Amino acid sequence: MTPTRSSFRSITPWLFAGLGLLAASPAFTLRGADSAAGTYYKTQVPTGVTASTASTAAAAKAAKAFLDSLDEAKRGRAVFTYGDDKQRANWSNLPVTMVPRAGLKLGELNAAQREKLLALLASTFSPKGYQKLIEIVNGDEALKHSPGNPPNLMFGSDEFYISILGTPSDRTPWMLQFGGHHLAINVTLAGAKGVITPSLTAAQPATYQLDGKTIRPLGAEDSKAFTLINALTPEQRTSAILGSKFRDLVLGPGHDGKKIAPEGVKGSTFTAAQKALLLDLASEWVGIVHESAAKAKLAEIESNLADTYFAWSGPTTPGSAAYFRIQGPTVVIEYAPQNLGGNPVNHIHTIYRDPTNDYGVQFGGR
Amino acid sequence: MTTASSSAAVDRTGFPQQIGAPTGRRLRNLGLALALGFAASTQVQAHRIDEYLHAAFVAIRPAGVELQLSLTPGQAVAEAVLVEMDSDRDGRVSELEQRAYAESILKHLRIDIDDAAALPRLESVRFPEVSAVRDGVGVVELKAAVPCAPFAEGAHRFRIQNRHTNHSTIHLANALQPETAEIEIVRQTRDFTQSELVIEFTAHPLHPATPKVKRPWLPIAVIIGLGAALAATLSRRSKPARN
Repeated sequence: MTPTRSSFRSITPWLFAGLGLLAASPAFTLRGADSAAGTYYKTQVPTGVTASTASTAAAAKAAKAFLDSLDEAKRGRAVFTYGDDKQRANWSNLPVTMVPRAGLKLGELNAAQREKLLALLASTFSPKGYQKLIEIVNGDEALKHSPGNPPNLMFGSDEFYISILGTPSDRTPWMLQFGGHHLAINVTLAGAKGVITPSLTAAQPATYQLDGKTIRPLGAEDSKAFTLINALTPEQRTSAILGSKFRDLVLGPGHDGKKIAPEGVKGSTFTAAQKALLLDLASEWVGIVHESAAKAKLAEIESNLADTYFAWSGPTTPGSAAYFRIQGPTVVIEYAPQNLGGNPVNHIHTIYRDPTNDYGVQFGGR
Repeated sequence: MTTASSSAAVDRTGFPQQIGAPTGRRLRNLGLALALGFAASTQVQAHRIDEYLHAAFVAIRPAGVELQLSLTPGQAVAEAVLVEMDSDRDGRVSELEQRAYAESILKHLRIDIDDAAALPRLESVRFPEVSAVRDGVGVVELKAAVPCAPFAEGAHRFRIQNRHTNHSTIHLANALQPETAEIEIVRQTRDFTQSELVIEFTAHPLHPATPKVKRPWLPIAVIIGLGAALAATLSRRSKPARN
């Protein structure tokens, strides 16, 4: 980095802080505020989609409607064969300039196509899951407009991609991918069954303001984890806490198929209340997909709770930067604050995997 | 938590909200100010820059240990790492250079099995494109075998210490889930930085019920037995009933 650029970066935060204070003044009108502030999406599901209507059949129908809204060229770029393992594994936490994604990006869709896409997402995910994804997308838009943001990294809501592997169906397996920087959702649907493993949810900023409201896309994960660790007995906590620092996800992007040995406190030692807290925490990932698929997966995790481990690294005071992991026979969830870009609690990466059924391998069809 | 949806500026179809539109501008300006205020205190850095991640996975098997290393140099250290990789400076990392670099990484490792030093032997190495390394997204994957005698029944201890400190190395170190019940991971202990990992494990004898190699004739005998029983049943059914 040249001294000139360094000097510029050092004054940039102050410059923007000053602009921020000016913008707060009721008498001040920020010129060009529309373009400066960015493109954000509503977090409520579109009209007509509710928890009871989101299902594989509804997702397949919405996927067809979305594809029908595209011209041939765009449709050709959005659709892949179900056996395309290269595309299946083409996801990352990194910005799209660093790890190019395939498919169609939000920024190249017209209003009608975007409407169809949002309807597809709302038909595939639970309302809570939909909200989480949109909050992550909006968070990247906030990041785009943060001072010091290198423009070549191309953050922002326009830079999220959709791709479909196979033919949308309410019976045979197909896959939907939605993601970009800090988001990679890989949903495989097969009739009533559905999995969203492996999927990566992340956030930077992990807390931001929009329309005067504080948004924390992964706030529930954070709060519930601290509730659980502090609900353990001292003996359980001693077993749960690993004496080393986890600087990143162990099973993040690029580690498909790896199975690590479980660590931490075993679920068999948990009381009913502690088990409920663990399940509630896991539901933040499991519950992203539509209700019927999530319900089946949660029941499976619950049936394996005695063989499920909870591990922790870091302080146990709520609000601290702490890594944690839930690991059972059919689930691995990691939550890792990042030592990048300042405060680690404001930059979170998480991963959700099923070592037995990532990408719906059990559903066949490939 | 949801974003506000009452403003006239919000597209009712659920489409992009243009923050700062005329209605509710004062509130939006406040939100923008807060956002900028937050951002002012944060340097945007979305990926690893000035660190070199060494992620180690240890696979313990009845007859030996395999070590898998994923090496990811951050963007700011990539050039310095590339100088070590591309020793003849021709802009590409030849197969020879790849192996040499992988060997140099292995030299930073100190491995003990049951307190006896063991030398890892490079088995394979996979290099990304030089451009990917330069961009901070390239991952070097290497596999090494740690030769040792088959583990006798009982408790054992594997220790790996990664003393690579060039380019602000950071570490993750984990045991992989054993592929067989003959190996049971009992405990993993790391130092704070994870440059050192100790895996305590138990080797169990081969379970008599699981290995098919001990009674290779058994499945065939069962099939023949079932077939004979089925044939006998069908034969009885085909005979006419006696009055």
